[in-house]
Amino acid sequence: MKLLEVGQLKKDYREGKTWVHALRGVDLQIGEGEFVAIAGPSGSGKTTLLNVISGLDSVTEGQVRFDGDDVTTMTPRQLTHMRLTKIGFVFQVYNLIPVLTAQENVEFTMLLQGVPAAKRKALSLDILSRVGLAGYGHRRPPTMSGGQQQRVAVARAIVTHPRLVLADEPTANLDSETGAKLLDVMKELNETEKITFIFSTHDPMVMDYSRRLIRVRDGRVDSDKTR
Amino acid sequence: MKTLLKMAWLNIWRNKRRTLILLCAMAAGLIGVLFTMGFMQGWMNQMVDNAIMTYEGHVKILGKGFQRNPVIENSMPAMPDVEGILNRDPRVRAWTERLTAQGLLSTPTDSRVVTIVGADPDREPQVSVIGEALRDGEFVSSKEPLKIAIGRTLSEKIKKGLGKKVVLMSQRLDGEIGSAAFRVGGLFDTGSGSYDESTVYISLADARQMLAEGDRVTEITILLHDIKDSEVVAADLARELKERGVEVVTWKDRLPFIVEMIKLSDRFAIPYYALFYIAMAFGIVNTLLMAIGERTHEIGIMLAMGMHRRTLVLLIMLESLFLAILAALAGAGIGWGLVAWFGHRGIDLSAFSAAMEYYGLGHVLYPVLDPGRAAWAVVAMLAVALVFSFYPAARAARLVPVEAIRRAG
Ligand SMILES: Nc1ncnc2c1ncn2[C@@H]1O[C@H](COP(=O)(O)OP(=O)(O)OP(=O)(O)O)[C@@H](O)[C@H]1O
Ligand SMILES: [Mg+2]
Repeated sequence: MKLLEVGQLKKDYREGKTWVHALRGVDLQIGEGEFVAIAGPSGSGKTTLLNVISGLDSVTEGQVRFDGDDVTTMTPRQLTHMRLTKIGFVFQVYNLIPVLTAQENVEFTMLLQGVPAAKRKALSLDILSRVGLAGYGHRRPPTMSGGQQQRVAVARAIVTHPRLVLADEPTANLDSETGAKLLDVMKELNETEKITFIFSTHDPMVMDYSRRLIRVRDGRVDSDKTR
Repeated sequence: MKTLLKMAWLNIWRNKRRTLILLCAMAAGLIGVLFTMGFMQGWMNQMVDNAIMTYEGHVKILGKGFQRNPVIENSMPAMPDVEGILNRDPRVRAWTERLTAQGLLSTPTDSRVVTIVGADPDREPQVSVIGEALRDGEFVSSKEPLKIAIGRTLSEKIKKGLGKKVVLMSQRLDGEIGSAAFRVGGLFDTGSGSYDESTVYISLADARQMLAEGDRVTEITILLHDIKDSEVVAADLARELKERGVEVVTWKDRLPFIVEMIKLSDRFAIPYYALFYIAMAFGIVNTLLMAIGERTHEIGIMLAMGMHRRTLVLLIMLESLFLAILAALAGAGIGWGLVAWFGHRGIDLSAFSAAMEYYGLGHVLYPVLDPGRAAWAVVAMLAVALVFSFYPAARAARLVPVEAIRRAG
């Protein structure tokens, strides 16, 4: 069984009197340790797909199985617990809690999980140096560049060794060079830590980073290529 | 928890201006509450003090029935041995005997109903302020009989100054009418016009001569060091004097009007205080809702990451509590200082003094803060902050992460 299995997934949004079909029957399977890019034009359903996978959004029809569990039938509590223990998130912008330092941000998930302080500190310092931010632990997000903030977000997402990291357009607000560096870091962690990454983008340069590229269009999988 | 406390603390400073405005408003409200409390407490204390120091004392030993029906028939024989009991009691500051009666004060052109107080010339000034209130002449003396001290206002009304003659008349113990002519020897001004107009002092010896035979008294008035001992001292005396057929009462029995006033003033103050707490609750709810609105994106991310909703509720309630603690520190500090300063300096109320006199006050009011009440005001503030932060907190916890995150910043 694959880590993630999505079958005939449909998601409709009501917009006033009409319905928006954000996902119109998506099938895909993603295995352990993969590094997958989901590409598509704006409005194609990338964000919706990622949100449905993590249970942040409900499905209209179809199946989502993650790590052996049926996400579509879980209670809100179970979903919260699943996200806390098994999924790391990186969003497009403002991922971090601005009043906490970089290190405290990285520790935040562990804090919610109840990891002891000493272990939190050791792990967070280690992971910060892995993403190239050794010595930045005490900095507050507003004093860091966009690229640095996103690297802290990546560090926070993987420090607990989740089964899956979902990154929705993590490079969209970065210039291409900084974006490339961020993807280097993500790919490195994917290879050394064997953490599965799914990220969305509509930047062609970013798509080249992944061995597997899934293109979506109008809520359907357009192509799914592994190089 | 430590991180949560830190987040709460830092969060309230994200919009410094808004936080400071709210803090100032909350602190100002608390200052208002504390000052009002101090004012009321000072007022009540002064009212009680004035009554006690002018005439009532803290505890009285009265002849049986005198409390209900203050007539000479309800007087009692002097009790020389009580002197020993009172002098030995360390709680007693001073005491005096009086023989009092309702009577008529007449001049050739005027006659008025007055309370005649037969006072011990030496002891009376230790128990009451009447000695200090003397403005002219001297208080009654044991050496010069048939001298009377009257209020200055009365003196003006009856047009009898120092050295002039007046006649007192009252019912004697034996039922006959007793009367004697007195020379005005002293003029006093206690600050209470009504008291000064209706009370006259003669010496105890003269009073006994005029009204009774032997050494009768109508009351022994006792001043204590601490008003709080009144009930205990009264109870102790009542026990010791059980066989004598006397009554022992406290100032509370003697001044039911003032006791009622105190209760009433507490009751009237409650809606006023409630108003402040309601306004504060609105301020807090408003500010927190605004803050949450600004942090929607961030809250969405925390919820998406798997933060429990109750942790978020706790975070926001902590923010509210911090605000209240800060405002309480500032408000209590300034409020306390203000009451202390005015308590020292006094508030001049001479503009309202006619009304004030009616309530048994002088011209200057000295506010005092009861620490217990002040503590309640502060605790109530913290409690209101906590309770009313629950609504904004619950609203934040109901945010849908996907929608919250979609909103920028
Ligand atoms: N909550 C919602 N209510 C109504 N329509 C929505 C909602 N969320 C998404 N949609 C619609 O669903 C479709 C897919 O949106 P989605 O955000 O998944 O696209 P996307 O590929 O992430 O686009 P972008 O590249 O702009 O982020 C769009 O037409 C969008 O307008
Ligand atoms: Mg999107």
